[in-house]
Amino acid sequence: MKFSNTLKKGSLLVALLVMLVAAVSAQRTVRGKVTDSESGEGLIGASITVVGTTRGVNTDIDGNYSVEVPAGSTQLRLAYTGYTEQVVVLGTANVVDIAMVSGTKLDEVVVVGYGTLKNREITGSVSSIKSKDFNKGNVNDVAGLIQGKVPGLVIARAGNDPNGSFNLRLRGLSSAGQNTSPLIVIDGVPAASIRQVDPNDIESIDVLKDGSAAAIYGTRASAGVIIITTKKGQAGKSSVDYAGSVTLESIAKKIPLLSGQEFVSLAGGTDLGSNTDWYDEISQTGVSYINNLNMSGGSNKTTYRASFNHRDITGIAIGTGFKQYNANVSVQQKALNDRLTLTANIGALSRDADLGFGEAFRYATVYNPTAPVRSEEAKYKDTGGYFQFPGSFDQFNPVAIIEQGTNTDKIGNLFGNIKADLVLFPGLTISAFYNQTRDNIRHQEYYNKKAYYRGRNGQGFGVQSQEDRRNELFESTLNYEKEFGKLSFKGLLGYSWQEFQRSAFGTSAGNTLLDELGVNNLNTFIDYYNGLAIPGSGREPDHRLIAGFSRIILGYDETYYMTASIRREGSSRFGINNKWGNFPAISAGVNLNKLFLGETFDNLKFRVGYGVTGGTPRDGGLSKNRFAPLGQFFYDAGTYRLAYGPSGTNANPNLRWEKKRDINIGIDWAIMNYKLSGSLEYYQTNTTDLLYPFNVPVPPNFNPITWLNVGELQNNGIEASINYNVLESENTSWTTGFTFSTYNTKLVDLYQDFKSVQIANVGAPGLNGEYYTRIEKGAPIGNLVVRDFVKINDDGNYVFRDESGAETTDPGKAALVVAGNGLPKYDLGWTNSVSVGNFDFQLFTRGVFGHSLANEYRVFYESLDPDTKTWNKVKTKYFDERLKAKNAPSSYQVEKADFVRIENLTVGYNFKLPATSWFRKARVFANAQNPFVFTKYSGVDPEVRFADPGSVDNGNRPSDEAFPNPLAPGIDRRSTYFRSRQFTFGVNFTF
Amino acid sequence: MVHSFIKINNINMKKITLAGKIVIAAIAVLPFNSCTNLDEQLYSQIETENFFRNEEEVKAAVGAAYTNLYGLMNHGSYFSSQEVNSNEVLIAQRGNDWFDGGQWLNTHLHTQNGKEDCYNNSWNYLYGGVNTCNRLILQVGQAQAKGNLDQATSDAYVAELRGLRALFYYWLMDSFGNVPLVDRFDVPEDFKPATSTRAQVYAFVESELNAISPLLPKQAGGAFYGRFTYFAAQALLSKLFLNAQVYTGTAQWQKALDAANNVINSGKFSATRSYRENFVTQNEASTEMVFAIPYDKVFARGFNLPQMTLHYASQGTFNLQEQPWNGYCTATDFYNSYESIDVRKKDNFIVGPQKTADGVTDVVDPSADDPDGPVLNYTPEINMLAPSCFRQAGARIGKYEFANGATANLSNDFPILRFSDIWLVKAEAEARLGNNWDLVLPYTKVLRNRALGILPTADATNLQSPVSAEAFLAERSREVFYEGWRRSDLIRFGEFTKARGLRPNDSSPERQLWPIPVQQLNANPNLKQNPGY
Repeated sequence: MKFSNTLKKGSLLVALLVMLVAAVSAQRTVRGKVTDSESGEGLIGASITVVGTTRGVNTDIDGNYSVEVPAGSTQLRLAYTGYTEQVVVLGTANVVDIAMVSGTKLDEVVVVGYGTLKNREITGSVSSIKSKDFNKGNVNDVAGLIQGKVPGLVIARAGNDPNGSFNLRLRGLSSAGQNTSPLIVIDGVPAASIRQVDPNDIESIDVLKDGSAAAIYGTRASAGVIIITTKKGQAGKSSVDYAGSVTLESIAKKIPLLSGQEFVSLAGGTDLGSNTDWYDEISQTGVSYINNLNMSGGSNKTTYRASFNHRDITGIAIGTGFKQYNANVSVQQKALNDRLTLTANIGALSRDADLGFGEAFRYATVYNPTAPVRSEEAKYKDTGGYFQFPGSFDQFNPVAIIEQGTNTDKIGNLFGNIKADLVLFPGLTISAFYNQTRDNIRHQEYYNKKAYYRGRNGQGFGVQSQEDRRNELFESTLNYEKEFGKLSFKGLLGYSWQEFQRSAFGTSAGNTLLDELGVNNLNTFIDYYNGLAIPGSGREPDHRLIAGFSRIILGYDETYYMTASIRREGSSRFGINNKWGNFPAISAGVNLNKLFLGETFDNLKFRVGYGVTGGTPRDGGLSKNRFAPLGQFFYDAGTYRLAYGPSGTNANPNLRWEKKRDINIGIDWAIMNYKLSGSLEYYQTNTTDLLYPFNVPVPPNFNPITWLNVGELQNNGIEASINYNVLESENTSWTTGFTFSTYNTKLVDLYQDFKSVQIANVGAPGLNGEYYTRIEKGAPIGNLVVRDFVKINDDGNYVFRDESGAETTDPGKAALVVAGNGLPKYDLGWTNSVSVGNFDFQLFTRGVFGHSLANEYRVFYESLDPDTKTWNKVKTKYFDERLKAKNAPSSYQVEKADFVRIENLTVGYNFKLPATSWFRKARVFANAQNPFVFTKYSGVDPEVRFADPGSVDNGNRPSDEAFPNPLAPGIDRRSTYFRSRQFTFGVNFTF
Repeated sequence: MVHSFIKINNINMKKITLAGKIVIAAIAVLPFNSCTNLDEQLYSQIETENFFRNEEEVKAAVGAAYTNLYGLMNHGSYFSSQEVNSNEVLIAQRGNDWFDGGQWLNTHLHTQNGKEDCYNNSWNYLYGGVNTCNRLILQVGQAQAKGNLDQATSDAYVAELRGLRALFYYWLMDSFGNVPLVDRFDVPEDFKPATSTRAQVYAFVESELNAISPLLPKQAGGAFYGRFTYFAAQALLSKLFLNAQVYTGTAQWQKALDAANNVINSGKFSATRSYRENFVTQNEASTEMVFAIPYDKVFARGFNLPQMTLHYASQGTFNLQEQPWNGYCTATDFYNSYESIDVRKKDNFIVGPQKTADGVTDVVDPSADDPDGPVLNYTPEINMLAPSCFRQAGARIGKYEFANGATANLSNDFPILRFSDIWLVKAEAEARLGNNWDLVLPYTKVLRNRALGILPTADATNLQSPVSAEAFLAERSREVFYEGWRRSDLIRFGEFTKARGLRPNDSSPERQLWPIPVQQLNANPNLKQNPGY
């Protein structure tokens, strides 16, 4: 369909509905002041509505309000975040002052998708993190804000590549590869680009963890849903905020290596006479700056917020970092006697990223430590004066890699939202929402003519690509809320239409004259004229998702709650026979303390939920047989003609969504007047119809792969959190909180007759066709299956156990064993917040346990085998001078990687300001990220590797970098960027 | 919009009832009829059903049957397995390089077990070819039935496709032996073909080639270069019959001779003046190309020999755009089977100290352990197969000229069926029929004169009366080195399983067939593993 038609229809309807305004009758004005019941201070921005009408206002900066009350209305409803909602009965007085009581956790607002609920009404598994609880410091990615804060959600990034992204994994793996990360919803836009919102503009992050909560997002929700809500202006609360910080960042841990002397004496390396610390040569102290300025405020009719963010980030590897500017404006306008609320939001982002070369870490590790960085010798003129070993395998001067190449992204993002909410009559609201988002990424790489690394032997080599994405969303909802005595009812009916377009152009070519021009002028590359350039372009089939959905939430006497929802959704990517699917969910909760526990518990809620969610394929076109140029030409009477043939995979017209069913049981509790509270949950999930590239027999199928829905995965786990307000006095407080989660992922079956398959190729040199991982029917996902290592013998050989249990030094006879598992068994988060007078402290510690890592540096560069003497060796605690064996991956290089990390430590000071000050608030803080880590793992970062980027070979990129394999977790590849330690100093001012 | 807004404004809103409001609201949220459309449109590809509308499109599709061949000269698949298995070339384990799960050592030592990637790659390459042909035979027929193509054109394409399919089946039968015989594309969904015997596949290849021969063009070169012509069919038949005893138990020497004569007597092909001109970069002019893959660095990529065989540092000798991998080299005994005056020895191999492109400067491998130092020096001697073969050990395959500045993809065409090979088929068939190996001499003389010059002693050194079977085999092997025939030649002469070079032990006769790859056995329970595996 043409979307403009919809928009027209939608606009017409909105215009029509705008007219449905009831006439105004006789009224009076009531005014007064809203205050905090304890401190007596005025509350800014509290919302006051006249019960039974749509009339509502907000208090101003001093807490004053004034509202028109129609004749016949007798009650005002007061609501304010963090305070207990209350209803005031009006007498004859026209001045009514109201004191509000600070509320409990049960009154906190939780965003659940297409609406908000109070915590007490929640019956599914939802975690809500407010901005005050976000991780602090040099956090440039939304995921980094909540790392470790949500039980069941593991957020991992090995190393601190400033342009690297986090892996998110909620409640284990529930997909064979297509849907491993939760769906991101930003201000109501599903599958939004996570980078379009600056971390400083986020108000809250809500995570829908179980199927009963997530099913409202249907076919994309099987890995959970993360809802990001940005900050908005508040009426009467005008302010200007500035936050600025500077971060110093340095390598937290290097791999211990042989010294130059040891390299010569122990490893038999050639002494080239210099002494170079290659890590020092390629790394730096990164200095990063973050500036945020925002202004917000408004009247009862109009509120606004505008923000401007600037980030200038420099990584620990020379030549890595980015500069980013981001601006965001949101405006909310009320009209038609406050019945209509229009919300508009636009944002723009520009990011220039220096991706640099993380590979430099790898070559710095293995490069000859006695080699000089540069040399005046004539023969190095060809390599730009950098020392090199031309003619050697997989050895590149790390400094030359960094300095003779560029690798950049220029990213632009623009989005606009408009939303109209119209109250038809009290309780019934109709809404329409439109969003358009555009992303473009221009990628450029250039390797200069003297570059030995990828420089095409003196010719120079460039890569350029451009990708454009456009996402469009139209949604319309009808919300009805009504209380019938003790029964509360919330109903939702909605329609959603979303389309994703993506097209890309890319090319690579060599043979140019002018290094200065890089890849900016393709005309300089001879390869474009002689046919050697590689062209590529295409437009993906548009991905369209259409859904109708409904949800009913019932509450009785603040004791019993029930939520039922269904989404019927279709995706254009599915086969013609299976376009549509239903995603139902139901959950219920009961507040037991209301029933019989009385005073002991402040809260004791038992809840249980069941839901069905889905996952879509990553690519389009899988349901059809496709024909395209094959990239090769056939010879036809003296000329070459382009051959056409089947492209991609075999058609599967029955392709459908991955189907996850889950059960969630939870208890929320609070005692001692909410001083001690917590929750405990158990979940069990079952994912079937996994989308999997299935190997089919070559006769009769043309392609060896068909995407099929096969197999079954099971997950279960326990999640617990406890919060304790240890101390709470006038100027001292101490709050501590724990989260604890367990994980268990098992592959029940993959496909008919499937037993097991070895995956994750170890790679060059010499270990192609060897594997780290085995996926096996009935076994946990993530088993690292390698040779059974016993010891190193005095001859310097590895001794393995063979199938019969006897010892052998023949790697070919060694038995394979499960040497560990790459996925964590449980993790722990521990938060402490202390404030004393004007000082505040926050300490966040995270531990991840039960996972192992295959340490690939040790696999390749630990043995003093004379055949590998050109590479420097890693000298970890496992180093053994006797070891001279040929490389053979075994349980010896699979290490336990449990760790406890002090993630984040902040000390802040809030200035006491005189009333005459220009500032309303002023604060300075110092923060440390990753100051300490406790682990026995010998590599640079014990963090979980959820997916395998694949093997590396002689200067090439990791083989599966674009789509890392989640079925092969736990491999610490040589492509890992190093971990850093960061110290940040910052200020916050409010004017 | 403004106009319609005003109009709506005139409606008396008060008259709309609550029920009316709900109906309007419901309309707003319910899917519009046009908004439930989930059809998926392709932009960068076309749906297969929409192709084959005219002859241009049919031709472009048929081209895929030819481009399917291009993988032949890549590393790791059918040709690599043939060559390494033959003991003519080898891929030694050079320290920590080239072990690759032991697949090349196993293949060379005849200790393979079917789990090696190279056999599965071979299977997929060959059946990929078979299936492309089957698919195109179906699709060309459909296009003809729809009237998009005339009968004569359709018949010509189908004959060519059947010829290419016969070639893939020939290779399957020669290597794996007992394989499923699938001759159509429209098979049932869960079709899992059963293994046919080697003799059945042989019969199929024979009958197909005989059936299409009258339909194929009796042309060579020019517009027919690189296409499956009548002569390609006859040359392939001659190879099939030459090995018939191995394949079926019944010799077919006369048939082999007849088929070879159909090629040779046509006058379309002849021995070139020099051996080298068959293998230079611009070798498409050679009069020996009965059927060739017209490789090209731009258009027809896949001939990766410089990467596969040269040492990393040889990049400097040939100004290669990418660094080679230091893999394939020649078995020492095979290298030594050439007389020193044989130009084929110089043409086929790269040995000795290497210079950069200027011809003066030494090429240096700074990290080499080789006993004669870091100057790159290819020695015909190979110290061991594994695990510590010297990095510079082994004569490298220089038969196909490496152009200065070559990319990873050579432009040299690869002769699948070459006149000199068919010439020697004729020689052997006559000798076998006459029961006298001396009958080969008139034929070998032509090629040896070319290779050794017309010295009167040329014939005498290595091939003189009385000629032995072994001597003829050795001569044949010298001529067709690295053309993919050594394995079947050894088998035909009963030499394949004998200990040779770096393979110290005899292997069992069952090793004359490859194992069916375990990946294929797992996917299709109807397949039968070959005996001995």
